[in-house]
Amino acid sequence: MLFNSLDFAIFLPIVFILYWFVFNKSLKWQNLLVAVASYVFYGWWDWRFLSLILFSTLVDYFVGVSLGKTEAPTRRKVLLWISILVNLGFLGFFKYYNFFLDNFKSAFSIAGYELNANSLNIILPVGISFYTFQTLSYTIDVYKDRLEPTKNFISFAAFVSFFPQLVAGPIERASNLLPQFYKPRKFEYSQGVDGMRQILWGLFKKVVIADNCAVYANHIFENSADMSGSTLALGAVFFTFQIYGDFSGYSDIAIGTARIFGFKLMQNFAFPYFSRDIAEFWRRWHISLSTWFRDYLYIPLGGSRGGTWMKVRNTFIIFMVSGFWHGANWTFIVWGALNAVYFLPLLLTNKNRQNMEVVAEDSYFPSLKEFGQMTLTFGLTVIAWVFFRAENIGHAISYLGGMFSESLLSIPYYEGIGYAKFLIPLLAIFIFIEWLERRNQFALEKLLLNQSIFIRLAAYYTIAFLIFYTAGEEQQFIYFQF
Amino acid sequence: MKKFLIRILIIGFPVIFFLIISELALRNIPNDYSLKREFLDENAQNLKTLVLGSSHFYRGVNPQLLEQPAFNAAMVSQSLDYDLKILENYKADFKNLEKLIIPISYFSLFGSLENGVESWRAPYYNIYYGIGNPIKFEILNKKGSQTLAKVFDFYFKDNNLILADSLGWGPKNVNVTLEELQFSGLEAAKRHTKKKLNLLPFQLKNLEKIIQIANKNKWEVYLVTPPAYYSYVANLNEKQLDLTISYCEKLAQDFDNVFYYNFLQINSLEPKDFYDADHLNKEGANKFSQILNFKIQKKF
Repeated sequence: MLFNSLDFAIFLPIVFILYWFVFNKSLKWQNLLVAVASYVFYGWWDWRFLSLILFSTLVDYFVGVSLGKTEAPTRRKVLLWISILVNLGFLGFFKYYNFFLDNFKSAFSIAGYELNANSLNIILPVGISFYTFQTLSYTIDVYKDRLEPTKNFISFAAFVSFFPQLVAGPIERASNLLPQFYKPRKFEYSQGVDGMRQILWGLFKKVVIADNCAVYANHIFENSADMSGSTLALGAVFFTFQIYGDFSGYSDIAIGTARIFGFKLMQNFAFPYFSRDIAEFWRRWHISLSTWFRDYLYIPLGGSRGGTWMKVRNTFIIFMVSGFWHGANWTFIVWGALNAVYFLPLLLTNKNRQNMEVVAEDSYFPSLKEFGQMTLTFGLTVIAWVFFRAENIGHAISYLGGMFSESLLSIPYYEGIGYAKFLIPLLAIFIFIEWLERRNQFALEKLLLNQSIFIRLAAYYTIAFLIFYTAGEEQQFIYFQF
Repeated sequence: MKKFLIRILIIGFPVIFFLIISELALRNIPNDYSLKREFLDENAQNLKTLVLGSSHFYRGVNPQLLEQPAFNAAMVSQSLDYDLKILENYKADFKNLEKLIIPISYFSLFGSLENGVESWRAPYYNIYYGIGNPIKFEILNKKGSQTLAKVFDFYFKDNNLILADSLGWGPKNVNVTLEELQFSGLEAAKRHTKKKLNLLPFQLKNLEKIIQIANKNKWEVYLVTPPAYYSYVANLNEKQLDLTISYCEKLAQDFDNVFYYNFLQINSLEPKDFYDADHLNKEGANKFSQILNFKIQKKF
């Protein structure tokens, strides 16, 4: 079920009413409703894959319970590996089987051997990377004694499958989300209103910004051979905003939806395009994944504690694995490696934590230096996104080659660019609003709170109208494929 | 909670009201789909000849030149599964029907409306033909800007959105250059050549069901591969084309009431008869309709 669909518009109020008016007397029943609703939400795509979630849930539940009963290190290690192998096994099979097979076949054929194995026609279950990481965080935390194992299966099943963030995050930590299923939840007006505002802003980002940028980005990327350098640069910028609007919009809708059910999810995006360096960008972009990799991969590998070689190695590992997490394609791996290359100079000169606060925290405008830093970081990000969006490495290289040609300074043009005239001012307004509200969790959080009810309503209706005006056929969220 | 719900309802009401009004305003605008439904609702029992299929026949067959009374129920990108749905919907009403004419184009057995670029048309069959899931909304099918433009054009500028004539034919009175025909042939052939042929069993089954309905009702079924300009034909995939032709020939052999005519490379049509490499213009459609009618009458 898509957040931007009629199905969800019907599903959400039904679950909301059942949750607060029918099952509100019993926490157990409320959690059961969340679990059942989440399975319905997920099964709407393809009910066959419900068995995968259920199996992962059962394995991790019993691994958790067993870990709680034993102190023997070997047994605990075996239990942990069972969970890791089952979860990563599913992920590996569904997402990476064909990739590895094709690459092995190519490698063997270079060496003069022909490998007789056929690719499988595998459908990637939506959101498998997200819920796999979420449930793995539980087992690892229990193994490390950072979390008490739960004996409440319903709560655990609801935690693993929690519908607002099931298919595209934020990837919640068990230590944050699971305890929220143990405590009775009370509806709070301010939380409800906040949630609705965040849903509205998320829809705006997805439908108005991302989907409209997608039209131009897709056209330019698909016809990149015929485009001038400046048009290619424009296409890359459109994709940069498409992916931000798409993914952070989803996160906003997820967080807002969770909020109206009395749950607090972690912030997943913190205005990343206002970052002054790449390290800051990665603290603000897909925070739940970055921190997951930091806690469960980077630190166990030794983090930044070792010598220079270890720092370089770990940085490359975490960025490349992060890239590979996004998809079974070399383009994602190169995208990750490129970000590692951007990040390393900062790490090696101990400057990776120099921009911890919000840019221009006490003023309306950034200093010239900050503006330059932001522009450079944004530019580097745009270049990296070309690899993320391209069909293959060759496409990315030819795209960038075309972009950095003499025609980079020409006026962007392609047939149909006239329609982008509507989008460019809209993007400018969007950036302006995000800039004004960069200190908050999301742009609409406090933007209009001091205004009269009429101004607030006018603003909400304007946003709703823009959503209606620009919305077309339901568009998938990019991150569903991951 | 009470305050929250009341406010949500108060704030949401104008939005829902606006959406409902927009939906009703859209549905009230006559279009080719509603025209075809109205015609079939009122005249199905009188028809002797019915034309189904995609734009190749929506543009390319003038029902006035066929055995009367005739009607063209073809629509842009209407695939065999939708032809079947229309037939199933009206089969009880076709009391005098004798001839069913269905185009089997190069893509017909391998594509479907719902999987193609024109998939946005699929809900129109629910909304205007009353076929399939009735809970479909036209406002969800297009951009709000298009909805408003369509409503404005019809209600305030009196623009008619019906492109077909009263018998369902949608002629296009356009002439193009040879270069344009060359280019459109290559593009259309590319577009119609399917990488996967996985829809073949599905569409064959639909075609067989159509034939069974025809058998039961003693209708003759004319499977027709429509004419195309050579730039289109030259760029077709041999395997896909051979499969299309061989299945049609086999059906014509297996069933006494099924006839197959292949007009893909017909000599009597000239470049000036096409508005693109796989669609006939008005003049071409009139010529072709006469040829088709002649063949059907003579049954050779």
